[in-house]
Amino acid sequence: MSDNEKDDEAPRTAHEASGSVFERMKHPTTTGGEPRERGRSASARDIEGEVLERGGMAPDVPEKVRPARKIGRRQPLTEKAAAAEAAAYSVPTDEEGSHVVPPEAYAVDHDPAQVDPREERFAEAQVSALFALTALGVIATCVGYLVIDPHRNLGRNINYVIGGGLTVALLALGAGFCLWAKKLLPHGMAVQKRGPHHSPEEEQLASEETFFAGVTQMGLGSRKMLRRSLLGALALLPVPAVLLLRDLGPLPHSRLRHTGWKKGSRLVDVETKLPIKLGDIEVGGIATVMPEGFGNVEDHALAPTILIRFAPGEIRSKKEVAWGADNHVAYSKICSHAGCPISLYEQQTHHLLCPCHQSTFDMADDANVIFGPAARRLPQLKIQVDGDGYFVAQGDYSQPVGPSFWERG
Amino acid sequence: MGIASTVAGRLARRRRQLASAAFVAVALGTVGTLYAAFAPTGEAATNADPAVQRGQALYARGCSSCHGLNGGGGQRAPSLIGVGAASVDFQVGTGRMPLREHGPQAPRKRPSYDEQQTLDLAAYIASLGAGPAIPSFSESDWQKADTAYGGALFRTNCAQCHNFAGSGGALTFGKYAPSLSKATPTQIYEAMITGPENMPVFGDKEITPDQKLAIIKYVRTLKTQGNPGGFGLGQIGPVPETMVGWLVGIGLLVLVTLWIGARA
Repeated sequence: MSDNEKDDEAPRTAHEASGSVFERMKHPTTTGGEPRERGRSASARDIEGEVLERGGMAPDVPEKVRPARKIGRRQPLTEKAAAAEAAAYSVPTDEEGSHVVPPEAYAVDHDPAQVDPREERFAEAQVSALFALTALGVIATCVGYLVIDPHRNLGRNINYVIGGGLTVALLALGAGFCLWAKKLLPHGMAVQKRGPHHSPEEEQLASEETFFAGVTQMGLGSRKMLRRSLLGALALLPVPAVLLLRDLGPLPHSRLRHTGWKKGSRLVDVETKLPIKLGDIEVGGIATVMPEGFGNVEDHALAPTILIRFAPGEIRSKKEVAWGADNHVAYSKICSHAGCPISLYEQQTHHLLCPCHQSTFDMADDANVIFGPAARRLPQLKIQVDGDGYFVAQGDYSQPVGPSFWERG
Repeated sequence: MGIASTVAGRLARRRRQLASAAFVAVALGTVGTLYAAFAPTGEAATNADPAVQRGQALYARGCSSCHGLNGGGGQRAPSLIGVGAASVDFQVGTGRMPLREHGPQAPRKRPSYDEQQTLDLAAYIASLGAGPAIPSFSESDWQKADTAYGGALFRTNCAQCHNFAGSGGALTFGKYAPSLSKATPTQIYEAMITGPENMPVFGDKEITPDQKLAIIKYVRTLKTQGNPGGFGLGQIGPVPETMVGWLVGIGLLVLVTLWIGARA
């Protein structure tokens, strides 16, 4: 505070002293890059920076000016950490200039004089035996492949020989390497030091200077036509990406609301395609039904319906009784959660379980959800028995079947 | 003094208990006699068929405590009037009945009755009221059925619970669809026509006898078809196979890696 009052003219940061590149970019010709208060990073003056050697900076920067720390630049190091860093840098490099493992890392912590040569020979023999086993496994695999009839015993023989041979070969190879490392290699601890990965401060500052100098020389501020044509081109660039979203369509329109059931459609068995008559289904029985003449199931993905016959008096919902016919009720088979087909029906508890996420519907209570993630009851199809005794739909489902969609409402 | 009064109190309590027990017994006996006198099961008792009589004796000893003296059911068990011989043959033949304990579902276990006793019981229950009879078909009947057609029917009607390979699967609240690997052709047929426990009933008008035989052919083919090697993991699909591969396979690799690192 008092400093500010005293040396109002004195630059307080390196950027202030050298002239901000932001300012030079904004006013390359009119102000000669004179620094202005506007546009400077809010944090530039507030954060304590570290003392730097300003190798790459202008020679007239006063000694006491310290560059401010900016976002992305690391925190100042403690003395101890700095010393450690310097030590790490001092590790000699090899010819390619990369850091090398210091020679002391190779120190062998066992005394060669104390190693029993017989033990070493034994370990060698062990490892060699494992490698020989690898060779045998490979040979067995090849011979088995050539010799065994691949169709014999459903191919089981050749599968076992090829799989077994390769298993033995690879396991023995791996075990050999492990044993080699454990028994024959010296057990020292190797430490590979890593130097810091960031560039020195001088390089960072120099890069900034170079970048902003380049921006200034491009002259975006003065060359209006260049600037406008560039902006125009860039503005058009995302248009194809947005336009290609059209391929997500076409929109389903009202198809999600219609299932293929019509007034008077007979309920036919999905497999035999025969219409279902009153009495075909026993008490406690179910059938998967489709509208008569449905072609293939893929074209009528929303139509599958489960027809359930209850014993008299089992249904607890009045609406369910009214929409059914003679203790038979028809409900959409498409789960209201994620659209899986459901028919895991339990005839004693009247639970209908969706195999995908365990949504459970109580079919005696108008398909009320009693467990699981489904948010809605299954829609019921109004049915009746026609003059010939066949079940027919009284119309399409009164609400969209299957999972929620955006416009479902 | 203290001991004497305690003993007297205990005796009085015992007398009260005996009295109430006797009352309940007399009341139950009266009601039972009246019920037996008026219940429409007279022809069962007088049936001259020796199988029915043998079955009735077995029933009275082994089943009546829960299902009632005349098969009318009780608080703990459903009525057996009208369930038919097929149901008895299935439930007793698969060892599900007699029930070992109450639970969400009766598990398959070793049957408590031999084949003849099972048939006797079935004959007795069938005499109580009309129900599905034990299906009679020979091995050659289902052996000549169409496996592919049976597979299509199985996938439409059975696979949602029993799994496409007949391995069974979980249902709600502890119940499950059992594996079909141990079911005999007759038991598969009986299960379809009677709908044991929570299984829906598939009557002959919905799935015709020929279609049922095709389903049996498919289920039996699943059981007898060869395995080209490796672990089947119950053939319950790619998800558990992958899970085993990841958990067991990668778990083993991690353990081996840890072992190698620890001993280095």
